[in-house]
Amino acid sequence: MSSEPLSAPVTITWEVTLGCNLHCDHCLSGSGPGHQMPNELTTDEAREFIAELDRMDVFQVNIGGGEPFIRPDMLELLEELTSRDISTCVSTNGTQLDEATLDRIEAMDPLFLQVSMDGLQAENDAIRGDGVYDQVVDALKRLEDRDIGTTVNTVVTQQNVEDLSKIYDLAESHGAGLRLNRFRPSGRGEDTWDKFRLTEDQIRFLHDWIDDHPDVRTGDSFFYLNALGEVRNNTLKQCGAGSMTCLVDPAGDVFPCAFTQWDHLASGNVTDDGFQTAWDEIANLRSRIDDHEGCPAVAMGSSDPDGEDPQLRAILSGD
Amino acid sequence: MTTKLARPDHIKFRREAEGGLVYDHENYGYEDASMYEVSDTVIDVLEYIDGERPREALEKQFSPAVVETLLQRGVITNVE
Repeated sequence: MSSEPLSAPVTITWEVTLGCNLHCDHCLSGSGPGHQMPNELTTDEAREFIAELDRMDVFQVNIGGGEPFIRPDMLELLEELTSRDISTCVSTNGTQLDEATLDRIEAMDPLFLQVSMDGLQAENDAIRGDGVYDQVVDALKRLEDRDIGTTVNTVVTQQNVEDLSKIYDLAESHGAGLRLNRFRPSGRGEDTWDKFRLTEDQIRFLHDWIDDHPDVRTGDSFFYLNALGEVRNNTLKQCGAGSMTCLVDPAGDVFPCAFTQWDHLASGNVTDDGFQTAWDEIANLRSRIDDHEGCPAVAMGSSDPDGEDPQLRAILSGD
Repeated sequence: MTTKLARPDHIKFRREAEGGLVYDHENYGYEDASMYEVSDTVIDVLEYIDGERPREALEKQFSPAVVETLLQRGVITNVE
């Protein structure tokens, strides 16, 4: 990329609420029932923020939470985004997608859904709650005949990594793609880090598996390693946090990414300061991120004494 | 018959301090979107099209080579 900071992010993640009907053990934002922040953006504030995103020419907004559809105004906000031709991806737990909701979503373009599934029935429900797997499969069935681009989104854990082929087949059988995410020590993931994180053998298995499934979507620095632990395309250091993308939390506070929501990395508020000001400020935080090898969020969240992503170091050096 | 050219809906762009960015969201999702750093000329073409323009006008304003290259890369397209 150019040495000049971008005038605006290419894409942002916007966590619209910390409220969620589920209480997943690994939730990156620590969301759950009744967890809404008291100062989450109002509908009017959210609309004004969207207008600023449009003025700044942000290409894509990834909506997350919490469960976005817990917000009563969510569909209204999605209509506001897509009517401005902002590419919009919504990460949902899949339990709130009734037919009326899907009717409205289907009318929006460009809009895509990511439905979370963290394993087959036993593994998924152990993390996400009893009965959730069946609800997600039901939603995937009902999405099959809809003109809504859909992927199954799986956080890869110690418990589900060996079932990836079955999850892939399940997604494919419903006309959905598969997207893998790295488990990170943020939110409740800090408490469950040792329980869910991959072993070194599993990391190697995963890289082989990804090599065999080039259509599976990934977006993490973790996956820029090939099966032999070699850096793929020398892109490992190209973490886009704070340079190409950023995170906006439910109250409008801006951070480099979803996994680095720490006070010392906050760069402003979209309502109090305006998003452009917060984005311009975030460039000053990059030096604090760049010092950390691999995924900075894992490196910093793991409290690694060397400031490195310990899983990355393990696969590169074998220690 | 005059051939008209346009920017496909899945192509987005913006000017930056140095050149600009072209974002191709034909495929799904952030990871699958393609983004290119481009020269000022490419941004000039995309701004000039402003909906759709006759190919002849674009070639006169820029050059046949520039127009052909952008067509081949899918940044602009023929209007049916």
